[in-house]
Amino acid sequence: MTWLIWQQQRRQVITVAIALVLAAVFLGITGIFVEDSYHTLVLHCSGQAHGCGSLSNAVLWGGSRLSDVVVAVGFLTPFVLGIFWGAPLVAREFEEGTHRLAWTQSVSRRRWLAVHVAWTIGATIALVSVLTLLISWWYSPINSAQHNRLGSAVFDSQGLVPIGYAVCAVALGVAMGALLRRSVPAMGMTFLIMGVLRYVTSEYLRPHLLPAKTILVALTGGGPAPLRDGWVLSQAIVNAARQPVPLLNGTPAPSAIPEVCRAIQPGRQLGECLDSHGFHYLVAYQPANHFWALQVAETTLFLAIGIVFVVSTFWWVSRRDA
Amino acid sequence: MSDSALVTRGLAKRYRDQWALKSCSVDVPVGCIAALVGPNGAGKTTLLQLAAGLIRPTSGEVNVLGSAPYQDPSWLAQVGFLAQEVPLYRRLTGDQLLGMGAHLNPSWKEAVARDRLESLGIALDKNVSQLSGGERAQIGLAITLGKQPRILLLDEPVASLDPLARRDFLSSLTEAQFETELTVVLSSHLVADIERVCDYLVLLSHSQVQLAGRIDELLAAHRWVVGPRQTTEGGLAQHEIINESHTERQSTLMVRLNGPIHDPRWEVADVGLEELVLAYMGRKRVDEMASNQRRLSIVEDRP
Repeated sequence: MTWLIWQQQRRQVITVAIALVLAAVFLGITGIFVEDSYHTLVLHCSGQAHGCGSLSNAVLWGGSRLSDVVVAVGFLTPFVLGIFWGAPLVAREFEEGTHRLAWTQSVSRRRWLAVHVAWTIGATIALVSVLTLLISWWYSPINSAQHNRLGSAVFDSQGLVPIGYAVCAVALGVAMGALLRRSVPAMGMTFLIMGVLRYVTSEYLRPHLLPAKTILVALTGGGPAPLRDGWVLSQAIVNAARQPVPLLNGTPAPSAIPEVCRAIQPGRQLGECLDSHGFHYLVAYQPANHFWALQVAETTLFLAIGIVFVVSTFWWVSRRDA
Repeated sequence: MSDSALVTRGLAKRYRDQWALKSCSVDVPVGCIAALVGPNGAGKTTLLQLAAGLIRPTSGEVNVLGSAPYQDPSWLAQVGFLAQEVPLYRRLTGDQLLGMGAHLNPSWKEAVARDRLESLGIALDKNVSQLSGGERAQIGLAITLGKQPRILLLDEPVASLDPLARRDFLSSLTEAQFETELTVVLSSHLVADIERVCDYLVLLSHSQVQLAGRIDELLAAHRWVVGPRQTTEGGLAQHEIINESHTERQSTLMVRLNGPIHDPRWEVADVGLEELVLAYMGRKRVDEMASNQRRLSIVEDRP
């Protein structure tokens, strides 16, 4: 079985391997420049807490589109693999009728599918691991300069999650191929479902995968250190009893604040007045050190969804008529 | 005769709201070359795919070499199947496809497949997409034969072969059957071929088995009878009339005998296989006609 898969996929595997080597060379060369500019520009101004961030942004991030491209590659690779490796895997056999050839050799459908799925997912994990390591290394100076790598495409293209996404996308592609039996619709559905899964996860699920931390911040302070690195989920003004205060045009409604502060125009003085009466910002956030825990949680989630797709594929392929 | 290679009992398959096969009961003995004939859409492919375990019955049973088709390597190894469109991985070469056969089948005999193709002069180093339909069919057959099955299920195997290749293929089937007690079930439209190599016939029409049995017994059981017009039915009551045609003075009937014909008014003659097949294929079943009439009356009832 493995022999047959190698005969069929040889060309594709070699093409992808060459593309990966080229990507590695490209990321290697440009990565050295990123690292270099980080050292010269960012580390030298590490004494001053403010200003450095924006400087590094200008040089490393905003200054070139390259980092956008690198993030996009990491972000999109799982889609590409799901669409071009997963979806056609079984669908092409149905389209060309070759499932009737494969399933009448002395190999059960289960084993046939198991070997195909195992090799495809194995190759996916290998490819995405290497690519993600490269991207994570390439991006690490920017991470250090930018602090926040939660809740954005940067999170999606580094660490462990790309592997979870890719395995899930490939499993989804295979399942869609087995269900729809046509490559193009299977590709379309893979893109659509995977897009929805990832959107819902990053927008609605990721903030709650780990219990968020909360912190009280003085209204007039510059914001505490952990928040600069963290991912702010919500922010509200609370009174001394920790009750949220209704807002009017962005400032606490007059009815909700002490009488002594009511006369003061919105501004620093009002902030100081409210601070002295126990008012605070209540900030819910994921701290930066939750990065790996969130990565592991989200990867586990997508691997679990992927397993569901694989199991349904086995069910479909062994039950349905050829 | 004691062993059967393919047995079906009340076998039926429905696709959505259409029956592809209904109440099909056949019994193909081991060592037969059985022909599956019938008009297009009669259920031949469905029966073969059910026997190969590619599709599941809606109801009824199918039994191949002593067990219901199932996804077990030892059962699969005994059953050779070749689909009508001869599916092959088009980006692979003949050599690679033979390699596939060798890797996926424990009982593979390389010589059986390779010698066949080499003697036919088929290029094994080319992608099969560059070969002609007939050459691809030969490769498909070679893979199926190389597997050394005990039963071969072939869906119109000779349809894309030239007359010479067809003769050669059919004689190799006869040889294989003689040497290894191979059972073959093949569907075909070519009655001349069937007459030459097959010894068992299953005739499907309107998704149902109309006739099944050993060809020599079937031929022995049927007769043409010709007689004067007025005598229709006279003296033939115990026989089943398969087909009748009348001119002003004369009636020609094909009957399935149920005892001898004594009435001296009838001239009796042997039937040929093609005549038999055509007579049964053209025959409308009683229940079929009845249901057609019902359907007609429903149509007429509509405002």
